[in-house]
Amino acid sequence: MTCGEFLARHSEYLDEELGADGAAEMRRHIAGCARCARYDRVLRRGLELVRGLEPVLPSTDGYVALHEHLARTTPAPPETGAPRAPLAATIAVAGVVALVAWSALFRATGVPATAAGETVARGSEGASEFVAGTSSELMAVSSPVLPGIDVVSPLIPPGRPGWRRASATLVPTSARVRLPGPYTPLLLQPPEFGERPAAPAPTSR
Amino acid sequence: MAEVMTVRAVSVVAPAAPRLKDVDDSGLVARFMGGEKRAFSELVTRYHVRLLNFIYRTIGDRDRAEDLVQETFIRVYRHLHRFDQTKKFSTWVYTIAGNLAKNELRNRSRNPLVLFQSLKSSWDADHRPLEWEDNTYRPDDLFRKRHLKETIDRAVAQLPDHHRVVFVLRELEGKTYEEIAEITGVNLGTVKSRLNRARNNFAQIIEPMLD
Repeated sequence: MTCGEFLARHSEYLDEELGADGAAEMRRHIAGCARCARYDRVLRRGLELVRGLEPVLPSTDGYVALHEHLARTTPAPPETGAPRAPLAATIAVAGVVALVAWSALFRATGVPATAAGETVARGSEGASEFVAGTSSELMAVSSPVLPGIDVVSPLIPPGRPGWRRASATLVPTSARVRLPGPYTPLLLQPPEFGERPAAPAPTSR
Repeated sequence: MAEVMTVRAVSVVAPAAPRLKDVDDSGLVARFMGGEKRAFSELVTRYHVRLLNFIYRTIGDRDRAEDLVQETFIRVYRHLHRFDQTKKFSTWVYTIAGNLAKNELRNRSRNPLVLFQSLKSSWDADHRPLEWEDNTYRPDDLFRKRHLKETIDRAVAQLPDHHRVVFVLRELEGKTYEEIAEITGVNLGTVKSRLNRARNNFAQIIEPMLD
């Protein structure tokens, strides 16, 4: 054992935290090294003196002041909500679940979540229609989740416009349309499409 | 013949609750939470001197230490309902006191000022009042003892803050490594390493005095 190793383990040796073998090795080193033996002796004596220091006693004033303060103190009301850590975990889990649910929704509607800018270009394939509706109407409607576009969700207050899935082309109404992405300049000034073409009447034989 | 019947009164007496002094910390906490206010006074009695010494040795300022002990007890009193009673009460109290001491040291390092204690140590030598001869000790013994105590105090005070906290908890408060880790919020390996370095520093400071 080197002196460095001895010093590194000396604290545990003092506290008898080393096993029997470790302690025996330390004792052997002390027996053969005057410098480390001196270190051991000085430290033991010093710690003995530290432990023998007379305790500081509280002043009478301090003691009285403490009890006066305590007499005036009232226990804090217990927290009514759930502890913070579980709450944070709940929010995180809810967020993950929402993301997973929405991504599944995208797959179902054919709108890729990662290509927001393409959505408008695919309007003719039938994606979305901006409509004014109430939250109750929109509850079960898919939401495009495009950057910069209002998202339909159950949290939308009643009367607020939102997006819902249309059967055919993208038909902007008079509502404000914000750009879903940087490459859709045509939507800056949306052309008047006029009335939506009426759906062809079913042919009857 | 009249028979005298002695009726032995049998009274059912509920077992007396143990005296507060005989109750352990967790029992006192439970009784305080159950509405027995005096149980908290017993906790104060148990921890007042210990916390004062812990904080005093950590920050080196007696008056401020008294303030912080007071703050510790007020926090304990206010938030005792948050204490997890499966844990050790003393560890919780020391954690609060240790955090307050740490904040004090941090604030002091931001706004350094000369403490009266540091002035007083040099003042003492020249302005100490005259003392009558103490027959218990020879003057040189008395001087040596006082000098030694001051040296030990100074040696502890010279340790770096984060080493000193660990050193005081171990040497003066007798805490285990695990308790120190919990109180200071560091892992066990760090506690061992800090304690070893603190002892090493301490040995170097006191070595000229002792050997």
